[in-house]
Order: sequence, then structure tokens, then C-alpha cells
Amino acid sequence: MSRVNIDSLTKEYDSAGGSIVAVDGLDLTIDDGEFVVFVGPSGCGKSTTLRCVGGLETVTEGSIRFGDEDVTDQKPKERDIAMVFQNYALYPHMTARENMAFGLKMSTELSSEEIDERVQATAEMLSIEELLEDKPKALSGGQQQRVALGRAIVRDPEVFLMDEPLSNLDAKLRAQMRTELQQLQSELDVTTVYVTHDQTEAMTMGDRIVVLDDGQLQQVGTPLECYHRPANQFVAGFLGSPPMNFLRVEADLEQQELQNAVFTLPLSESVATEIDSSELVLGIRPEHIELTDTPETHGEPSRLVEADVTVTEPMGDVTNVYLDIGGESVTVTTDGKTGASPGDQLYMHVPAAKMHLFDRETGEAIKHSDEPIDAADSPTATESTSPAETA
Amino acid sequence: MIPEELRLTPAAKDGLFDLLSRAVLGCLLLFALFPIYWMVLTSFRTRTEITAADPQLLPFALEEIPAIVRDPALLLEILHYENYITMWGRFPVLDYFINSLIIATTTTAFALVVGCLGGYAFSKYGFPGKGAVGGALLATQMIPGILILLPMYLLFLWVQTTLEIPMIDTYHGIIFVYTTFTVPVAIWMLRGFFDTIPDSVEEAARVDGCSRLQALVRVILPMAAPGIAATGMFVFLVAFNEVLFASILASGDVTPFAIGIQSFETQTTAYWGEMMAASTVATAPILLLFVIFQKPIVEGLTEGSVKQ
Repeated sequence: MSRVNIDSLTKEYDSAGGSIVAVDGLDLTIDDGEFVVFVGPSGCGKSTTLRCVGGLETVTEGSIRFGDEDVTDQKPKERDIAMVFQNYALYPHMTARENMAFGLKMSTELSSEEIDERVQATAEMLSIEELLEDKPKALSGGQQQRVALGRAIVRDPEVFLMDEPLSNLDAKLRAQMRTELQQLQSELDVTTVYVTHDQTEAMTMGDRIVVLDDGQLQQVGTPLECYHRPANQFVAGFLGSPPMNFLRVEADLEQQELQNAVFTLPLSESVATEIDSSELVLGIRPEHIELTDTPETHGEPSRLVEADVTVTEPMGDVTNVYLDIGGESVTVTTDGKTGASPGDQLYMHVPAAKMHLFDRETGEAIKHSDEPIDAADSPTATESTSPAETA
Repeated sequence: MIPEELRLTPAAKDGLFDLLSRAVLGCLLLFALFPIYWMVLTSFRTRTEITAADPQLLPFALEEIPAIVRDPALLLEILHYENYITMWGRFPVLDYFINSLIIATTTTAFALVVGCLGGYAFSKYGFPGKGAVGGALLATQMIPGILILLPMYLLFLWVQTTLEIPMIDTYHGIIFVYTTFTVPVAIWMLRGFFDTIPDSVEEAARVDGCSRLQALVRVILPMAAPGIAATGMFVFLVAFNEVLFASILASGDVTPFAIGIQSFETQTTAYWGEMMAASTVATAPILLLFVIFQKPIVEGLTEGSVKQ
């Protein structure tokens, strides 16, 4: 176990037209035993960063330290790490047992009895004792995944590196392995860096998530922090499914209003004083919008916006309602019993407390929603807040 | 337009295609196997039978078939296996064969060692001039052997006279020649096999505590075993069957089989039967080698390593 310190990490690749910056001046400290998830779209630099930490890529600039030891120029085998790959990368000519023992054989002085004991114990922990004599091709995808995980765990490394380890599993198995991995990690208490492009994994698994885009760090924080207090429009749009709605608005600070060709929303004085640009983007999560077809009885008629229903997606527990507001699409998540159907004209309520505002030019957040981000206050981040609470 | 009733159903089309492709393959197979059949058949014939004006396709007349089926021992009377006995005394056939084995095996070993390291480097590393070197390797295969025969002979002479290292009519000389033109092929073939092995497997080995060379030897090479076997077989056959360079650069004590069997055709007589018997004996072990190595090649050992 060890604390991982990434200091101004830059990785450039040479290409025909010059160099491509894959990671650009990344600073990050990962605490001892912490589970950190790197998340971002393809090509954001998350895998490259992981591979730099693992020593599989050379670092162009900056440094990486495990504890007090500078490992920047160390080879992978000198780093005391274990890695789980997306395609598992098992050794096909070895049995599951040999696959798991290989790392211990190559990197430690342990006797074959001790190695055997550790492999056996790890196999029991993962319930794969029965598979130990099989070669990878005789195993199912899920079983191969467990062997790959076993191969990493048996090493008892300083740091676990996981590169999208669940993305080749089917949905059901993935959900199961997600919880199992979390449990394992907290039992083993090994510093873990986990890379994924799946925001559900990012939200549910990590102690903290690191959102990257275009090689640059966008935000580091607990999942709820990043969800409810996104540092910028990219993070706001990346986390959450369906994603946050964005509407272009102008701020009229004299009138204390947000204006758009279709609607006007009042702006509280406290928020108005924080705004220094008039070109803004209004962000609101689909679960924070309330729909009503009786505007006359609504408690806050000034915050209602007229909209046409274009598509409804009943998911069972919830229904996603897609609205058209002056040519822009807005998604609303309502409970599964909603009666809305395409062609209906409804009013959506945009609660002031749940609104996010971003600077249109820089994308930086100006105002966040007031959702609690302490895990004790709100058990699940993605649970939709019922419309009644938003008043 | 073809009338409706004459059109083929999709199943019939598939059947017809199947039949046609089998017929074509059958013809090709006949084309490839007939010389071998003729070699074996000739080895069991007497000189009179071989030089007959109307050579028979079968070793016996059609009317004799029922009798042979009833009593297969009759075949021993019909087939003349004397050639297989007399050939050993006439010329040093065994020596020729052993020479060929030494030359082909050593060439294969060199080509595989260099081919594995080179092919691996080409497949997994980026280095300046990679494209140019790769192209140059391929270009060596486009030059006909006859063009470099004379320069090679002169080079050997120069080495012999200037450096005083014997080259002509030595094992190392002919092995050197064969290595020069089998190594580029081996590199290209093995590069293709290494390309199919995902980088992550090697990375996993390096994370597991291997150096790059250890990862190559302990993980990558076993995974490439079918490719190595295929390449090895190819190189072995090239070296075993080569005639042109051997005819000039390898005679005397190192005469390989491909050259040696020519001695059965003397100025006065051609011992066709014995020549074919010797050829049959020399073909058998090579054929056996193919049978043994066919399985791992077809099986594909890399299956199940990674989830695609």
C-alpha cells in the first residue's frame, strides 16, 4: 500500500505532424488505500496516465512517486504494481494456477510452496479454486476476468492498476463484479487506480473520481461532489444519464432575469451578484425538472416554461420525457406513472435551487445546485429528487 | 432472363459451388500428388519396366486386381523392392541425407533465432528507418538466386584467399548462404504472427516482473509457437530442397541429398529405380515432420488469451 503522487505529468507522442499531447500537466495525489477512478471520453488521457503510473509508457515531463520513492524512470517490474487489463491478457499457454503464480515466481523469492499457498488463498477469495487447472481458453469471459483479477491480487502489490476491467463483460455480470470489486478493494485496502469510460462505474465505485478531458484534469472530487458541484460544463455534461440539460441564456442583471428567446426566469439577488458575464449556459439535471399541465395552480408560476413533448421513453421505474423548447431539446426524468405523451403541451418548472449556471465562453461553473454532497445526507447520488422537494 | 422454373434455389447454388470447388481442388491435388506417386511407383520397378515404350499408370494389370485383393501378398511379387537394397551400395546416399539434415537443421535454427528477434522488433517496436529496413528485407526476395550466385562464389573465393577461412564445399559456407536468404522470409513471416499477439499480454508479463527479453521468451514465444513451427518448416524445406547454390558451393564431403541423387544419372547409365528409391526414403522423414507439426499450426495456440 502506498500513496501515489503525480506531479505535473505530461505525456507527448510523436506523430507525423508534430507531437500529440495525451496528458497535459496533471497533478494528483492518491491517498494510501484510496480507490480513485479516472473517467472521461475516449482519448482523454485516462489510460495513458494509468500506463505512465504503471511504467508501460515513458513520461515526457513531470514525476510519479509511490510513497517517498520516485518511480518515474523505473521499469514496470521495479514498481510493485499489479494490473488488470481490459482484455484480461492471460497467458494462454499456462493454466489459471500458472497464470496466477507467474508474477510471484518472476518477482519474488518465495518458495514454490509459499506461492502455491498464496494462489490457493486468492483463488478461494475469488471462488475460482475449481478453475485453477484449466487453461484460459476453457474458461468463460467472466471466469477469465476473475483469473485476471486473481493474478493481480495474489501479488499483494503497492498499487492496483485497472484499465477498464469490466467493459468486456455483459451488463448483468458487470453490475455484479462492480460491487464485488468494491468489496475486495476495501478488504484488501490497496491503493487502486481504476480507468473507465462508464460513468456508472465512476459514480458507484470510487472514493474519488478524476474527470479528464483532452489530456487535462477537469475535476477531482467525490462522486457526489462532481455530480452536484461540477467545476465546469464538461463535467456537468459528462456525469449523469440522461445528461444535464443545457440552455443558452443571457443574464439581465438590472432586471435580475435570465432570458432566452422563449422564456424568462427570475434570478435571485445573491446569484445575480456573482455573475460577471451576461453570456451564460443554464444547466439543469433531468430529475430536477417538474412537469405540470395546470400552470394556474402552480405555486411558482414565474418559473414555468412552456414546452412540447416530442418523445417519451418509459423505462419502468422512471420515464424520460423529451421536450422541445424553442428548437432546443430538454430531457426530463419523471416517475414511471407519468401520463405525458408526444404532442402534449406541458409546463416545466425550473427550481432556482437546482439550477447550474456556467460561463458560456470558459465553461466554468458560476452557480451550483444546492443538493447535499455529503454521502451521509444523501444515500445515492443518482437518485432523483422528487419534484415536491424542489419547491 | 432465366425462366423461373430453371432458376437455382440458394441451396442448389451452394451445392453447385461446393461441387465445383471440390472439382478444382481435386485437379490441383492430382497435379501436386502425381509426381510423388510416380516417384514411388518408379522406385518399385525394374529397369525394363521404367524404360518401356508404353509406361503403365498402375504397377499391375487391371485384371490382376481381384487376385491382389484376395491375396495382398501377391503385391510383393509384383513390386520390385531391389532398388531399395542396391541403392545404398551404389552411392553414399546416407551421407548425402545426413549432410542435408545438418545443413537444413542448422539453417533453420539460425533463421528462427534471428527471425524471432527481428520479427518481434518489427512487430512491437518503433525505430527510425523501420519502413526502409522492412522494405529492404522484402526486396532481397525479389532478386533471382542465379544473379547472386556468381558474386557469392567470388566472395567465397575472396574470403578463402584473403582471410584464409575455407568457404566453398564447407557446411558453414552453404549454411551461411542459406541463412542469408531465409532470414528475411523468417522475419517477415514471424512478424505477421507476432502482430496477432496483443501488446497487453507482453505488458502483463512486464508488470508481473519480466524484462522485455524474459517476456519474449516466457510468454510471447510460446504463444507464437504455431507460427514458429510453420516458419521453421518453411525454412527447413527451402534449405533441404535447394539445388542451385548447392550445385556450385557444396560438393565433395558436404554434398547434400538434392545434389547427391544426381549421381545416379551417370555418363553411361541412369539408375532411375534406385534414384527414385533414394528420393522416396528421403521424402518420408520430411513428410513425417509435416504430419507432426501440422496439428499445433492448425490448432492455433493463442486462442483464449484475450477477450476480443
